[in-house]
Amino acid sequence: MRSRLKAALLVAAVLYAAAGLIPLGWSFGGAVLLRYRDLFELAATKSTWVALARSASLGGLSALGALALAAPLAFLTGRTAIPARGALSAAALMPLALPAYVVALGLGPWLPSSPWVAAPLVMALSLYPIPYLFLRAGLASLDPSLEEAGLLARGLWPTVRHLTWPHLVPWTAAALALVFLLGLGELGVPTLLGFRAYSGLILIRFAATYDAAGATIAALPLLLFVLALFGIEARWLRKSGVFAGRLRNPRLLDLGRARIPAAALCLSILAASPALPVVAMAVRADRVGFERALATAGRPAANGFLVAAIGVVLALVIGLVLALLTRGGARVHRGLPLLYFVLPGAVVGIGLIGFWNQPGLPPLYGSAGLLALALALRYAILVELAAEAGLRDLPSSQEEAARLAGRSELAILRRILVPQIRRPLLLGVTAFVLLALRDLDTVVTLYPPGGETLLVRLYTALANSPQGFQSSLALLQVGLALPIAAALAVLSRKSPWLL
Amino acid sequence: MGTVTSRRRLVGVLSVLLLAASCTPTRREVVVYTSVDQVFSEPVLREFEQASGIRVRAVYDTEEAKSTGVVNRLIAESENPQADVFWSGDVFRVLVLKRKGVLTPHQAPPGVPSRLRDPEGFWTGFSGRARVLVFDRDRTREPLPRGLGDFTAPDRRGELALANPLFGTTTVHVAALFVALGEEAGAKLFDALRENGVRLVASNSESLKSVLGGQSSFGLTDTDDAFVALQDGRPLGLLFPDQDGPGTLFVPNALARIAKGPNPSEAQRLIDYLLTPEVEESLRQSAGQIPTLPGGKEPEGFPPLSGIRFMDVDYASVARMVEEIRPYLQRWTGM
Repeated sequence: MRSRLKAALLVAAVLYAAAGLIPLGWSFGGAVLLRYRDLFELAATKSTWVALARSASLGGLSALGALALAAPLAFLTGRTAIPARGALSAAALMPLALPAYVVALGLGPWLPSSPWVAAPLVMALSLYPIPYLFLRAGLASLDPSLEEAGLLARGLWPTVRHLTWPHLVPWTAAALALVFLLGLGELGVPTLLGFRAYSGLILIRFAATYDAAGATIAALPLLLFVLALFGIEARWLRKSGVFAGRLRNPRLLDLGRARIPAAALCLSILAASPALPVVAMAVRADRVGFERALATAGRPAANGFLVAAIGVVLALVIGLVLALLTRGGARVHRGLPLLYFVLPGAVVGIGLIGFWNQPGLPPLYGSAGLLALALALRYAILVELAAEAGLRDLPSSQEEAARLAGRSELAILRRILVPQIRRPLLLGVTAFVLLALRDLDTVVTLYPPGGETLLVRLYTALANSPQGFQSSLALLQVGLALPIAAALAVLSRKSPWLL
Repeated sequence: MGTVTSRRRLVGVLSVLLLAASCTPTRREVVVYTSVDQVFSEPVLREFEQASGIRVRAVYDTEEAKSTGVVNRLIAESENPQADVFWSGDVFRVLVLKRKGVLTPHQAPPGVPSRLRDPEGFWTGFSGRARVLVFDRDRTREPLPRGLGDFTAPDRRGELALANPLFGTTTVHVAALFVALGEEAGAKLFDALRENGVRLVASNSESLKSVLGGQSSFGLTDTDDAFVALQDGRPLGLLFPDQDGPGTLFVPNALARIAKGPNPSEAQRLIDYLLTPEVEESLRQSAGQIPTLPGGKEPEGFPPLSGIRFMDVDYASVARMVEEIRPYLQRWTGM
């Protein structure tokens, strides 16, 4: 890669890092400088540790629950010849179209009364596509010839024990860590189900004291917790080579008579989510509520897509810049995009508000632009991973030939590289839109006046709206996201990459 | 040629998206933040848009951050205000904003009762809700409780559901009782309630759901929550508590103008519109709110209000008490 392009990409990468780190540093650094004594007080308060332990438990139970649901589904759809394997694989991604609190809303009457059971259950039902994707990718990245050799030489269990399982460990650990971090920062589900999580404690302190600096200080323990785990996660991912390998088509096992019960097991998991919450909401929705929801959902839905569209443009730029730097040999640490991804949305939002809502700065605050920037920061990693995976498969000889022919670096990028990675980019963009549409924490914190999205509309409708209206709005939200989840399923079906 | 065309296309798409996101509209507009449930406030704001031709851009509060999310946002934005009007579900949060210098005085129409006007013009009250005890008519047997104090008795152990008193109108209710009874007696009452197994829930609507779901026998909530349940045909009974004591708390809405808000004249237009009998009537019909302007009718489905004794509230004292009892409430809730 020529030095001018590399310099331009580095400048862009620095801008990307600064766009998130400066606002976060501004808010958190300022709060710590002003109120560092509060930190000691917070550390000395028992409720701080109790709430942190509860959040950690929620994250842990959610991760284990999601893995318990995903593991049989991933194995059976990924490695066995069960009936309707393709359809079941696609359906396993559909819970991504259901924000966790929509699952909670849908399953409400049937959830156990104990928040300790209900909250992790809802999180697991909503997030199991993450370990599912990781495990499918892990299973598909194993060299089939090695496995066949193992089966011939040592039999099934020794092969599973000494080959398959060690290969799956980093994928499983990465997925568990990711779901754990998402559960740790979750606000909507614990609040709705009465689970006293640390995120709720921050909200309560923020809301009860009208003290933004104090609330920022209160968010620090969660931030430190996330940072510590994220450090382990990033290190583990880098060492383990997760995301780096190309996926293959493994040999499918014939289960014989067990194929029908195996498919039934998959169906029962899919019935719990996404089918049951959606059916429950459909039953509760009534005609009046649906007509009213249709009449009021247009603008919020358009707002959501506008924000997602701007976010996609930003995420594409960020993702391509980081992927090209990696391809050019620069040592790009995936830590920062991953950090933005796992930080609670409200924390990112508070940082951006603190920085951008100042006289003299461009009027980004109060516009959809700031929300789009926040979403791009959080989810650009999806586009980056997809772009990197696509670029990894392209031989460098094409670029070298174009350079010899006198093509500029920009022309090589636009004419040779980007057209060839359209499919992975589309995959990354689809995943981005899906996550942007289900993000509540960031959007509630940052949505501009008059710019509420459908998810926010649903959240505010929980107060005193008729149940038929709430369920209708939730169905519309799911209806908007389902085609995108379906597109993701179709794109990822033939994809040789993780996403 | 193709390169130039696609570059232009890209620039065009980016420009349209960025313009759509951040352009300043030329149409007259007003920005309102409201802690009144969107289901009730949005239709009123849409009617104002149609009547005035002024576009309304609103930020609505969410149930769980009730009455506090937008307040925090207003405080955070005080150096660079984005909002013009705050339509609050209660007076007390407005008084917090007044103390923090977020507000500027406005003109209120002459018909507003004097007890619902700030002497300095920083807020004006209108249309409101009462705090009521709700119960399931099909399951609850006589004798009914008369007030909160009854839930300290051993035979009513665990019967009451109460929303988190760090939030919303429950904070105000607790503070009003502390003012009416005195701090010591107030703390004694709430300590006794906690000792007697009061069920703490996330919000007033959760308190109501707790009753309808059979987890609690009684719930303390607002009349608008009860009104919606009654409209849905739920077998809900309600009683106005503390008629033998300090009386039932009435919580009016309050309007305030934001200092240095970007659209001052439109803000005044919106405030004038909201302080009309028509808006009070609209809120009465949709939310069962109790009108305060002369000539307003009582909401349907409630016991006659003429016989109800409402608490005599000094809003400024209650607002001060909200601040003073916060450490106590944090201890009380364990948060």
